Amino acid sequence: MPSICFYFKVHQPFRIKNYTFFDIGSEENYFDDEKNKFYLTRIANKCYIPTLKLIYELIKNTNFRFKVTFGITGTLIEQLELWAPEVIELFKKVASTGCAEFTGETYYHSLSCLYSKEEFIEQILMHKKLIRSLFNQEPKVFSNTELIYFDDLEEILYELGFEAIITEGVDWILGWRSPNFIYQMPKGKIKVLLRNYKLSDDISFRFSSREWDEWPLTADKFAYWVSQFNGNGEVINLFMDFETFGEHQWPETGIFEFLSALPFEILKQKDLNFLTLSEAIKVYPVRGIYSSSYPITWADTERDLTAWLGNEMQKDALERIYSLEKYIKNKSPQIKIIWRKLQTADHFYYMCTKWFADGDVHKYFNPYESPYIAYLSYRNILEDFYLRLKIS
Amino acid sequence: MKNVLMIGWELPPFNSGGLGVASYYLASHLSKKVNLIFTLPKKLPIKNCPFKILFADNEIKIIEGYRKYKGILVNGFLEEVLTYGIRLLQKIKELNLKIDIIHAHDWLGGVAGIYLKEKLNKPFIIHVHATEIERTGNNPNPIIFKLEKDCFEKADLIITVSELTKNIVTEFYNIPKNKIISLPNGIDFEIPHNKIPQFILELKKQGYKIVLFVGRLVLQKGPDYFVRTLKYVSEFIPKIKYVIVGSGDMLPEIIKIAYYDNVLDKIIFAGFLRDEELWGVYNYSDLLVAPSVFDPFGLVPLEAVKFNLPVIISKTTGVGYYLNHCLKVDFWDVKMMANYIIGVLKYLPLKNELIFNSSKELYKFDWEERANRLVEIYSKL
Repeated sequence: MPSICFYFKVHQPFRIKNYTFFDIGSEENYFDDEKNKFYLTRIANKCYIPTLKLIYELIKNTNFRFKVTFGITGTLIEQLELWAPEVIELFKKVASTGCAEFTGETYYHSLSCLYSKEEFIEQILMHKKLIRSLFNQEPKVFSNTELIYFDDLEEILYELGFEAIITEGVDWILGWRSPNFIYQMPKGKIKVLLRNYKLSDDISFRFSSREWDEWPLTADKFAYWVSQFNGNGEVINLFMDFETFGEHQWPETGIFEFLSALPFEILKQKDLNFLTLSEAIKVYPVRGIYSSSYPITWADTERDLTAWLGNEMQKDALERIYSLEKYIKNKSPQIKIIWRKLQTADHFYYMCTKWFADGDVHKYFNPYESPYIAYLSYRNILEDFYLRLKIS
Repeated sequence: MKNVLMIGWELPPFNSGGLGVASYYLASHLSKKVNLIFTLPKKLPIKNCPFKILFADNEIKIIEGYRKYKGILVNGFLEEVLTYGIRLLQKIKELNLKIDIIHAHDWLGGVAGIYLKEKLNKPFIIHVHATEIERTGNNPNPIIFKLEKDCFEKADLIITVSELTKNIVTEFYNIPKNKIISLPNGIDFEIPHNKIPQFILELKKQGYKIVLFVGRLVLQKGPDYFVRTLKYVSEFIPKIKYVIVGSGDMLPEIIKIAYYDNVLDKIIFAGFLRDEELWGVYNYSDLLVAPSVFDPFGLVPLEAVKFNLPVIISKTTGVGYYLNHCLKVDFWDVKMMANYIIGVLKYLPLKNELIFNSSKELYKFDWEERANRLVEIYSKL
């Protein structure tokens, strides 16, 4: 009997200012508080607050049979504390039902796993501490930034006490195999849960698309699709951005009605239920090995890192920020925080040029006018940061 | 094949700017697909032209009624515009030319277009490369404005070289949008033979960064804003030269600005250059800035892209609607423009990515495709 595992990624970065050469040496605040507050309050009102309230109701009304897993970043929590503390209270309320789980990840939603093992571990530990203090939970499942996955992560995660990792179910790694089973990493120490991209994207991308021949997607139709896996699947992993609800898919699309009805339609089906991620790995056995020596992600059709590391600007910016690690060691906590906030993957994503042509400009969200300006601002900030660190 | 009478105003090398260049390439590509006759208002020694040229009669035989236009006395340049149609008609009759469509460039050819439309009873397209509103920064000469408005109202179809100009024609001339098609200009993809001017060679040897401006030194092109960035830029990049290619009535003012900003020694006024020398300057510069207050299209940024230069343009440059991989700035925001200039010169990854990605956008500006589009448009008239 297949179980459905919902995982919602909840994240916002500390976006940087449009920082010019004339700010170097004089402007100490790199982050655009005004813009960040604006985006955060908008998303809190459009997505976080209504969706969390709905999820709480659904858990209660299904008699605690609806379950969800969240991946919340430290940078989001910090911003919620500043500008929308009621959202944290709502997360706590949902957690108090016992039907919500929180994954482990890097506190700053960083790409540190690619550059510094030490920094990667430190950020995971910071995040664990945060989740413990907020929700009194010990994360057992790891969700890396953008679901980055490669074999070398296994030892690190094992040492940190994780039992499983989630990532994309990539066709060319799976081959003939299905993403709807539990796998393990090559050494057998960490289990792997794979995103069913077809069903996940039906909700997060295609839901409101009128060109899609399945439009409009209703909860009973979706529940029927899931029930079709009965007998040839054990876990249906629906991983998506939390912003799907109310932001990527506006309320007018009927996304909230869909979410309200889905748990009941699923539970109506014989042999279908919901599980959190760590419950799923306890219930179902491992069916095979999922291995990739190079990093994969859940992004684009390439499922690679090119949205963050695809051009010279991105490579330059990332190499520069991580090459500062040795200078940061003995610096004040304030300096460390800045350095870490500058590691958030979104900064590099905004420098991506691969979609920035023709009508593609609006396919992704960028708070800067162009990827070039995102890089220029970031690079100027580094110049100021070098001055502060007394590196010439 | 349709018989198209294309009423032009200028052609290289007897051109003052982009209008002649655009007309030349458009006519060259079109002449392979339609029976095209290109007209000029007077006889000029143009050599090796791939299409037929008809020169309007130099003698103005019927002049009465055209000395006065809407009660205003005209002479000289305006007279040449206003009599262009009459002078053409004489030639057309003499040669007994068959014409299906009249396609005129700007109001300079458009006034003749209106006249010939009436006389020949054929559809008339006006191709707008710039409006008086854009040329003057919304301080139009009332006669020219009126003539343009006449052209737009009487034309069967209006083609503009950008969305920016399309909006101007709608808003300022009160023309319905559905009568206007925007069709950006193309660019000749071939890299022409070029030779490096001696002064550039010297500067390169001495390790200077070269920032280029190419355009007439007139208000519309914003050369003053460009020069105002220099005092900020030279703070960060001491070994810098601004090379200004072009001439115009703003030269004294620009010199004054540079003098007061104490950067006159960092500017080289190269004057008006064309062909080999101009290409040479493009080829050996580090960056092109096109800070136009208003430019309906903007061929210069595309030429720069062709020569692998990173490009900064104002948000009021029409080509920016189609060219994404460049830096765009408000022409008046001198400090931000300086920030971008310093960035491109100092940060190699920024420069490299701009060059790499913008060069891939050039395919959008294919004259051949424009010509095909026009043939399609002709067939529907």
